[in-house]
Amino acid sequence: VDTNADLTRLLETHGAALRRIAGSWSRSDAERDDLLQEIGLALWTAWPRYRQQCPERAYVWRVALNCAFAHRRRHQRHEHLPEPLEHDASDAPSPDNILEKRQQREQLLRAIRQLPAETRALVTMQLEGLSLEEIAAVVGGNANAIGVRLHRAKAALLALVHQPAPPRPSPIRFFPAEKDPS
Amino acid sequence: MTQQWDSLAESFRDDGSQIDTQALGAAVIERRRRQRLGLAGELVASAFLLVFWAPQIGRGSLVTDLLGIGSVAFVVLWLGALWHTRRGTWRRVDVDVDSGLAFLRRERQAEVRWTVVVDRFLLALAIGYLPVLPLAWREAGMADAAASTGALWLLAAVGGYYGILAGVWVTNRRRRQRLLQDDTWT
Repeated sequence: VDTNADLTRLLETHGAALRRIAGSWSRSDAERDDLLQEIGLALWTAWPRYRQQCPERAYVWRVALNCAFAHRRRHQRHEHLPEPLEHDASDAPSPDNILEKRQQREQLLRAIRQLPAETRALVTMQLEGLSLEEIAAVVGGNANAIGVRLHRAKAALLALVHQPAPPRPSPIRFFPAEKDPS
Repeated sequence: MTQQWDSLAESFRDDGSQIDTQALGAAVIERRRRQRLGLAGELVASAFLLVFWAPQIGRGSLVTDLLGIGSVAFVVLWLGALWHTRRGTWRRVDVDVDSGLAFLRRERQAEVRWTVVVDRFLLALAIGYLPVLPLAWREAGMADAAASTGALWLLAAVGGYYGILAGVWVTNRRRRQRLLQDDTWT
């Protein structure tokens, strides 16, 4: 088995989806890239055990989500901190429609990151377009039961998306702001 | 709801940038190399510990007589650090999500139970030293020419001992509260 070739093929096929999973489980771009590497490494190590016990995409998602859980477990003590500004694309010079799309995406990701682990996993799979059978293969249950759980997860996400974004804490000032003379 | 969901899905998938799979593959391979190197380093250090340090504890050399509990604490801390850094490294990640989450739930419950054990152990250490205090007080007064100097040393030692215990107790308590408040895995 040529593991390097397998890794390259897996990353080419599923890389974009893996990055989106990593983005849903991290609070900054740097953390996302770190998690993405972790997932790649886990995938590389786990791949020789793949015996077509489930569809390839489901197997990749299993590995990625389990990695994301472990990552979240290690970093959960930082969860209460405000999200770093890195994710905020509002300062980037972009045309209005791109900016609006980015803001929508940021709002969606923020809502996803507030969900509990299981709901977050279900929601990301559904958003990514996995079939019910594939989701059942990733989660490990029958499709009917998964359908019910998915419905609840979707409702939870929609409720969060419609909530107004929490105000960003004001930046720390080392010097008092100058008073307006007028 | 379906239309709204489709719009969200489109927004989720449209992350607007291409992924450099070559760079990612190279980063993964480099990470694997560093992970193996780190593991080799830990194994060498553990072998050193086993061969040179551990026999000292049983032999009763001057160093271990002086350090006493410190020697044991060092070994325990070392093993604890090893467990902490390597935790999950060999765990299978290709299990289904429900099993993965169930494992994490059990792990969290075990951690909560462990913090309770640590609390009780700290209490035993704190109470266990109390009967020794009057003896130590008497000895400190007799051993030193100036009794006040001996008493000061004793106060500093006892203060340090209980200070460390209090520090560990507070850290442990915070950890337990954090674990109990975290409802991510329920």
